[in-house]
Amino acid sequence: MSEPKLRKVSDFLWEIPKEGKMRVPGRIYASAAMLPDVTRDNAHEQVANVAQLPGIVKFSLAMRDIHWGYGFPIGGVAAFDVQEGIISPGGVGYDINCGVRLLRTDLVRKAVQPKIKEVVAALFRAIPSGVGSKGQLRLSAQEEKQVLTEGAHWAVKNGYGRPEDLDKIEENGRMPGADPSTVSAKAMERGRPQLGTLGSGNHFVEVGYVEEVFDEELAKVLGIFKDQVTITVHTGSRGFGHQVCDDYIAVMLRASQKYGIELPDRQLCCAPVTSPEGQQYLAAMACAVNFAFCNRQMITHWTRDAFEKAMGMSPRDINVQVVYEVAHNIAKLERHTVDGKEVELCVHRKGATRAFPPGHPDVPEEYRSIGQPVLIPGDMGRYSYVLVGTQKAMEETFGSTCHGAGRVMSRHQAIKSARGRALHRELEDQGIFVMASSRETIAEEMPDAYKDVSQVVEAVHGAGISVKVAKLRPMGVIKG
Amino acid sequence: MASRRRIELLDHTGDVGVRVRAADLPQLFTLAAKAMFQIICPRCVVRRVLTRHVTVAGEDLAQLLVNWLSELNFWFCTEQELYGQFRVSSLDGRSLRAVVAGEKVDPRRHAIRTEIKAVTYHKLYVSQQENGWEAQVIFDI
Repeated sequence: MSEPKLRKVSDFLWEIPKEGKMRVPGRIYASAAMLPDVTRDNAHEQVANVAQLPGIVKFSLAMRDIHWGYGFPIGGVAAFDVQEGIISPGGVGYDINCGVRLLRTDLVRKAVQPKIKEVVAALFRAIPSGVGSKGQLRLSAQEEKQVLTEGAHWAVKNGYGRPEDLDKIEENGRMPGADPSTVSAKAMERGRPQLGTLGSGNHFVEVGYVEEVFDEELAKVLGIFKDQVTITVHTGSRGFGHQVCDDYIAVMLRASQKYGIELPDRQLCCAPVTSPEGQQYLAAMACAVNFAFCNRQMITHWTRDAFEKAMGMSPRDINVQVVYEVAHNIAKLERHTVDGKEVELCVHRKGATRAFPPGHPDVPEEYRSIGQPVLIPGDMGRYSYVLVGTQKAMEETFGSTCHGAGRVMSRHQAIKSARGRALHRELEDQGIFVMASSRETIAEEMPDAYKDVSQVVEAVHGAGISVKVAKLRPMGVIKG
Repeated sequence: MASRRRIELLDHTGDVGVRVRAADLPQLFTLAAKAMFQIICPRCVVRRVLTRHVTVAGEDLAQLLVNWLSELNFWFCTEQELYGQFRVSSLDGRSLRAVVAGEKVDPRRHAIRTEIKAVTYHKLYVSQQENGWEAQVIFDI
């Protein structure tokens, strides 16, 4: 498949026809202008490979921010019949439940901008970040197991944040079915010191403000208004999730042989959802999902604290509240309507966000009239978006949409092109103050290394699988 | 062989990998480990202060390579150990034994660049060439 055969379905949707061993066609949400990005790194071939896996339903999907991943493309969505289909750790990714939480405040930009350096410095001190960052708390093995089953609830119970925070998290911050006995000692050991840490790479805490509101009514329901100061947290399950994925790829390589599943790429290794291996992975993955929920809840707590201290204001005056939190690397058992029938599916979202429509019971009650909030972070120099899910997403993409900008430069290229530039200064000139554990991180993560997230958002908005609510502009960022 | 570089860093949009070439398998696995620590900590000088005995198994050479590198990365992630010397004492198609030497990360001397999330199976191979061995492995970072 060196020459991509892509058939245009609409201005924002392209189809890879079913051929060879593909069980279903592939579909990519992109505009014509962005297609060369997709085919350049052969991500469309990965969409076709996923279409070969047993039990896949309707389409092997890719969102606009699709790029080459390991086995499964990043930006991929694939749903498998629970009875006949498979589950694959590669379809979730190494950073299980990597996700985004958006916080809002009662403050406006004018109040925070003059103190942004103090705020960022306070956040940087309060939230452990960088390669191999270790947390402030020393968990016992028993406590770690509680984190794995209780998720963000463990954090709230132990004084990190407020009970009402939990209502605004996917799965209410606790995924059922987590069983610590399915997790290796290595994963436990890798995870324990890293709870309550940001990590490195593209993870961040960003202070921003609402630059533009696209839909006043939707924004009002979310408690969002123009010039309001917001905080975005992007991190995942740290070494714990990496190790769970690693362990289960080894399990699934054996399982694929055992169940006679033909793999176009070893990284797609999998097992039937109903098999012991499939069930064990689901239970271990849920542990990592809960680790990440707990991690972001703890970081929220320190963020509140640091913000209040730096601003010299009371919690009531700042009023940091959770707008919502989404997971963008996850597999979930969900009910969907396929060919007029309701079926249970195992939906894999790898670099894709759930985008449930208005009225769906899994959307928090407060937001049920407008649909589930979708949070799409961009690079640190430009902007991020808030959207909501739609009925069309439910019908076309198993209630899914894009998750971010996607890189255009490799990390090495970015560092090379940053040579001789004062990135700190360039960003400060644009009103963005950045602190990072290493200079290289800023170079690797510089805005030029990423696609313009607005194009990604326009594609999913144009295709009707989510609706734009607001655009956020960064003022201060901490990076790992 | 002499004209070709023994360690080649691969640079893709989202990740980093290595291609290594050596005369025999123990050297190949040693080079792959050296390459991985170059990615974690480029130009780091690692003293031989501590040693660790490593035993890993795998279904074939390729999985053995993944498990070997994953094991070393596990000790880096949990104990912050960097290694500069690798002595592979036995290696067949299914198992490997080695003694590695290094030290704990010293932030004053070691500028850690990258955290490796995992050693992947993507585009992975270990193959015998006319005059030696070649392997490729890609890291999720």
